Amino acid sequence: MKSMVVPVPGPDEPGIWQDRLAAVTGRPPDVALAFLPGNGRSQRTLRELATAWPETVRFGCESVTQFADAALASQGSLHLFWFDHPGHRVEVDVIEATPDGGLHADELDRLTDTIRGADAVLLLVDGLHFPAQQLLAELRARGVAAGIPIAGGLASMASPGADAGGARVFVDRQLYGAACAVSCWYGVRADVEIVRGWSPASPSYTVTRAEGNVLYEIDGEPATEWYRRFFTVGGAIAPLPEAAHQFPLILEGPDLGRQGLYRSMRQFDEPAGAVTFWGDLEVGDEIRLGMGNGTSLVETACDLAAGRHAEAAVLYSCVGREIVLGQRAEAEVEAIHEALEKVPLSGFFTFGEIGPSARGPLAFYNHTAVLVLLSEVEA
Amino acid sequence: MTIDRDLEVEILRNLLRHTTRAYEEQVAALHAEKELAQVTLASIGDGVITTDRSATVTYLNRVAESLTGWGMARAAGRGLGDVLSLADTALGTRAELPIAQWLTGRADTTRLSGVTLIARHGSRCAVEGSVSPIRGPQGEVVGLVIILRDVSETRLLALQMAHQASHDQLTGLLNRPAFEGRLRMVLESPGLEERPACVCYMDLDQFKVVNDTCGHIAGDELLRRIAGLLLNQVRETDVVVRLGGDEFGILLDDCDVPSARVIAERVCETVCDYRFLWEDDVFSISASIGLVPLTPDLHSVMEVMSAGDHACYVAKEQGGGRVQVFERDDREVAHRMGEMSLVVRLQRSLEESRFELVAQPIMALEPDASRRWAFEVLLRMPMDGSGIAYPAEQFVRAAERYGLMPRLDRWVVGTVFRSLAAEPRALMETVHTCFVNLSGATLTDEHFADYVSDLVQETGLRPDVICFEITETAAVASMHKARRVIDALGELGCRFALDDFGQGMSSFGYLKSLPVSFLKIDGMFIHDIAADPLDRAMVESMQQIAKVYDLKTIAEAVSSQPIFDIVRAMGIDYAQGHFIGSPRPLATILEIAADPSGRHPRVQISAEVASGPEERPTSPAGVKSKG
Repeated sequence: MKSMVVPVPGPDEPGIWQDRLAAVTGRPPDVALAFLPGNGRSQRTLRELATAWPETVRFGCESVTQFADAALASQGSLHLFWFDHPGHRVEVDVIEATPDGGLHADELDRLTDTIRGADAVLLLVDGLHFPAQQLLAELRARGVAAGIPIAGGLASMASPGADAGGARVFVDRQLYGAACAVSCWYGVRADVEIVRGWSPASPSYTVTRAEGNVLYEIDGEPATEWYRRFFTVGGAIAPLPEAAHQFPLILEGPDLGRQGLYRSMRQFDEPAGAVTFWGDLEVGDEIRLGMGNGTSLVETACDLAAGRHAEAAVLYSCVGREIVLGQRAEAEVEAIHEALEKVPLSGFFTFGEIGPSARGPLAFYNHTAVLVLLSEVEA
Repeated sequence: MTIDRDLEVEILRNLLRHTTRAYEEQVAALHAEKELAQVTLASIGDGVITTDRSATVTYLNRVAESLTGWGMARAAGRGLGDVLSLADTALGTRAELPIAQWLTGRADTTRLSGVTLIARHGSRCAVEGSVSPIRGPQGEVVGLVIILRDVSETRLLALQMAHQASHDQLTGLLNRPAFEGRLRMVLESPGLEERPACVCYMDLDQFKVVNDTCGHIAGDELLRRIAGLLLNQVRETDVVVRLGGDEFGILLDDCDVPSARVIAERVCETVCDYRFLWEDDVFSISASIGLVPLTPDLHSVMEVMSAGDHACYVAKEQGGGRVQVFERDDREVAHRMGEMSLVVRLQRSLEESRFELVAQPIMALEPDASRRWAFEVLLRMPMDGSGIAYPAEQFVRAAERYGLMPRLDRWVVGTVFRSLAAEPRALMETVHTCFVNLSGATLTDEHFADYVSDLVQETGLRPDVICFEITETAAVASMHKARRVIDALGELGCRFALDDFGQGMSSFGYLKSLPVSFLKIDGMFIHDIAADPLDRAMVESMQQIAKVYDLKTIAEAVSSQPIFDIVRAMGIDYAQGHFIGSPRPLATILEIAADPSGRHPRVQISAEVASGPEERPTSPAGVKSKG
């Protein structure tokens, strides 16, 4: 398998985009995986790609910041794949949420059958309007994930609260809100690594009241009070959720399936005594606050990637890490790209990551980076 | 949006402070837990030793310090094998500790039993306990915990109990079950022919004299002395036991018959030569010994003991103070064997109710007696299919020797109650008293009165119709128990007669203590009363004494008109014998007694027996234990 990553030029560089497409000579790519900014230009870019490579399987999602090899991009990145063997391919299916935010059982059954025949699956999910954790639970319940590497990320956007169309996914020329693009890869081996880099920073506590993504009580104490205990500085509480990005919750069990998961704070609602996260919490979860910094995150990523061989890499890194990395956000991508000996690398900062856990596949993460290493297998 | 560095640092400080506090709390909790554990370990009654993963001692509680003789300070850091030194209690050899095996953790707990702990300074203590692996979070063995319990007292108690179970408390000799166990081992051991063995079965000949005369304390002391004598006369390897009562046994292993006879005769002589002093009295005693060679044709312990008993019996029958070697063809022993087969028949007759009851009439001599008739119930044991009965003396003796008398007595009493209760009431009104013999064994059966009480309830028979005949010998043999049974039956309403009165001539004394209503004057005084003035004087004195005690008298063996006239003239109350009537089936006797014709019953009954010799009431058959 050959692959290359092409940065998408900005609106003020129209000529460059044509030049970049034209530079891809010879056989049109078999797969074009695109990560595009949700700035209203997505539709136009999809048309241009369709015009250039009508036979190519084209899909992707919107995101604020994309990865293009060792660099960060804001106008989009395009990962092109050419299979060596004619039978190897990618098929993409889309599952949309019902109007009330649920999932159709029929569509889940169809999706289950599709996934069962694949060698690897990459999921791209609307990061705001699609019930990603419900999808994972349904797939787990149907046992589809056994033996199949599945990874993915939740599409992101700059201002979630503004709801400017959402963090959408797309297939061919079509943009989908509240949907998940499921790409099934055939003849491809995928190794999935979870990059962490966070250390325990508090004693262990137990969740005593939670519903979905909303945490109410820890060891019988209101969750907001619990946070106050750690985040009050000089008599005033630090800005939340921003300050909490550097101190994610680490889940330590007792359920081994939830061990090693992280949760990023999405909203701190003091009057309601509720703290909302990007992922769910369950009563009985043993939690700690974690801490990390640019160095620990980058070094962890580097260690995991070092010595690994792949023909292409896709990285789904949490926006929470981007916040912590700050000025060094590019350093993580650079380090991974370097460690992988500059294998073509794409991806984006996500609103949540999907990958295997210690006890099985299809766990939902925050504050991690899910690194997918792709190689075509012998026919 | 990132937060500024100062804020991050402050939050980290908060986290550190809380983490430190939590850590301190955990440490305090752990410390408290450890303190509690150590106090607990120090307080428990078992010794506790812990080691690390290399079996190096890390902890001993106080009990373990005391048991091992190792202080904590000295023991810590030493190998477990140094501190815990065990020996196999049974073998006495030092036990190798399988420490490597314990450390594998394959067994959760290994029990320590049958071991003796050798303390640091050499003292020994029986211990029990266990060794368990201490496991880490991943289940790996990180050390051992050894629990030790001092069981020396328990083991001593167990030994004492085992000793008590196998020894006779009075003499300290082995008891019968232990003897039988040893004997069984010898019988089952191979090579009995090459390694001969014998058993002596010894019975003291005059023990009862001492017991009766001086009381059981003297009797017990005599038995202790005899035990000491026996131990001095046998070899070290011989086993001397008290079989029960005044019977002793000696197991002579690896000893042929001539050697065994020498030992047995030496024992006999020693007992004979011994003089037992008690207060101011001196008693001579002797012993009869049955010597049984353990030959292959004696298969079981029971056969050996039975042979010994028989041989001993023969020795006693031949005058006592001698040794009788058991031989299969010995006529006397064969007789005893015949007795055994009779016992088998007795048991079968009991199970199948093959006995018959007969009754001999007893007539009131006072002319105006309203109810003139009484009778004594006697037992017959017919031979199979022949119509002839076994001699009463023979089967009664066998029943006495083999402990069947209580069952025979119950059969008789039960049958009498039910037979009489089945008779018309009018008939019963002509019967004054029904005499039933009771054996000595039944007189000591504490449940017999309950049995009679149940019969009274069941049959509705008036208990005062029944008069139990007891002999002074039977009553005196175990006076306390006999009194309890007699009193209990008396409370029911039953009466008692002292049978064979005059035989022992010590009888008068017992009249004070036995609540009897009748004296049956022994036939030996009646037979020749017409010709012998001494007999006549004896009977007269018995009659006078009976009147003093307000007792009715019965003359046994009244066999002729002259005798009948004499006893009536003396004022004897009742007469029994062939002149009055011979034993007849119970039903026949009841019919004659109830004859409304008014003819003199004596004629009716005695006519049947005019030609026969005098037959003692117990002769045809009778559960009558003549002492």
